[in-house]
Amino acid sequence: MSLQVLEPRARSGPNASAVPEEPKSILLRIFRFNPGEDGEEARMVTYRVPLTKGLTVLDALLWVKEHVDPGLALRYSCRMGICGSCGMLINGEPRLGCETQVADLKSDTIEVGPLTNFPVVRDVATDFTDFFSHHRRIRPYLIRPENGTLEPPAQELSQTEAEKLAYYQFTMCIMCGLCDAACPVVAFDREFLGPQALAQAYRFAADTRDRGWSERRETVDTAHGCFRCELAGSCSAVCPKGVDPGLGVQLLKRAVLRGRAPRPS
Amino acid sequence: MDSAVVAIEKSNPPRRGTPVLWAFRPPVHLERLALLAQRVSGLAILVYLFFHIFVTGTVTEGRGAWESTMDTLSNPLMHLGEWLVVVAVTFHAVNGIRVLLLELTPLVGRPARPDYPYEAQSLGRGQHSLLYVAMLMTSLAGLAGIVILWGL
Amino acid sequence: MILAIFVTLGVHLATHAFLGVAGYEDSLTYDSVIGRYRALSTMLTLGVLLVAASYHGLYGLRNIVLETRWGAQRARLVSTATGLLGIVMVVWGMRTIVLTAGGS
Repeated sequence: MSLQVLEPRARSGPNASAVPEEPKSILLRIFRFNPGEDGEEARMVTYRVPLTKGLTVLDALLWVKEHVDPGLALRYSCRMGICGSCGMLINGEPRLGCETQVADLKSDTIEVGPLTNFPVVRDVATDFTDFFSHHRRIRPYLIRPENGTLEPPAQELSQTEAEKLAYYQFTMCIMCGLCDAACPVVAFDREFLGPQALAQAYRFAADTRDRGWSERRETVDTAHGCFRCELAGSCSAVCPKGVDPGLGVQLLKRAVLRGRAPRPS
Repeated sequence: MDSAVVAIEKSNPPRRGTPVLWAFRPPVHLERLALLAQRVSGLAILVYLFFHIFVTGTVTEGRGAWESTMDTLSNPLMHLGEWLVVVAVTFHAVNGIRVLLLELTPLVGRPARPDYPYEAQSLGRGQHSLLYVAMLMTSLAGLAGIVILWGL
Repeated sequence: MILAIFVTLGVHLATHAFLGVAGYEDSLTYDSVIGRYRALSTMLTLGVLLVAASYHGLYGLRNIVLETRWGAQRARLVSTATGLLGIVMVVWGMRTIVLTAGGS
């Protein structure tokens, strides 16, 4: 995937532009770490990457991978903010690499590192095992009596628009892990379910089609469940899809204290 | 293209949770700083409470003991400490009420359709204003404390 | 967890009652302190505040200490230490309340 270098603006003639030339390259400092081969030696390597219009951090990393070091390890797939693979620390902040324009960062040096709170597999790629196991633990599926049987449903499960809106925004989660990376409680408590899992627990609890409130409540009303959240708000601040997991966790707390499944009034 | 490699520096492997500094990792925003302040003020109040229980306990040993304790504690440094406790208690209490409101009432926001630019409801203006109230009341209490303790 | 919320409410109401003192300097003289301690309302307020504040504060302290690596490895020690600290604080405070109310 090679990048096209755009022609520089003309400085004279009929198409000349009075805007000064932008810098042609940026410095990309990438965290390089290979626990298997290098042992414990981690280093920050700075690369000079040519700057083109619309360059994203993911584009810059792939340029390095293509032209300098094919051994750079990172995850990416859709490069349009829907697969959730390219979560990374950009200038210290958890962001999606494909959705972060280099020009928006307004600095000539960009630091890229692996997401915090996740074990590092290699370079910028992290281990999502705990993240997915928390997600599985809250049973991310509709719990209904006919689960596990092969009977086709007797009729459609209908919902009003209001009932759908009560949980709709939480379905937008792309499981990028930025919220778990930003959460200070996840940083200190490995068993904490995390904002992603808790927001998804709320997504299913608030769904009128779901019948598993008592099981869900048992999973989140524990020592490392929803009450471990301390309202730092970082999860909602970094979510790229507007899921607002913080809101989901607080609504879940309210539902647990009330004892009833959250339903729109 | 070796000319593209500009520098190689040693670095530390990433650490999972750094005490106190976690509050200042980007993106730095008010809610997370409020959490840090809540914890710090809570610890400070706990330390104060511990000593307070034993200090007020001297009243059981008679008038002499009580008055000598009061004399020891009447210096400006102690007054400063008491003022800090007042500020800490006010912030901790008002922020605590804010937490209760956000956890238990619809004040935290209502789920809606997420449209670009994807602003989080729980970090909206209404919720921020609760934090501003907490900070305002803390400064008011601080001022009141200065007036009472130093009789300005 | 849910208990912590009720505890905080208790703390709030008790503190409110406690701070209704007019004249800061006067309120700290021996006579006025002893005089106030005799009243049943003061005893109750202080007793509730003592238990609630100690529980709330030590629960938070235990939480914070358990978050550190040092604390996480010694979870039982941390829990018993904070529990003992709580008992000491409550017992001493209760002693003060009971002795001054009983007559001195």
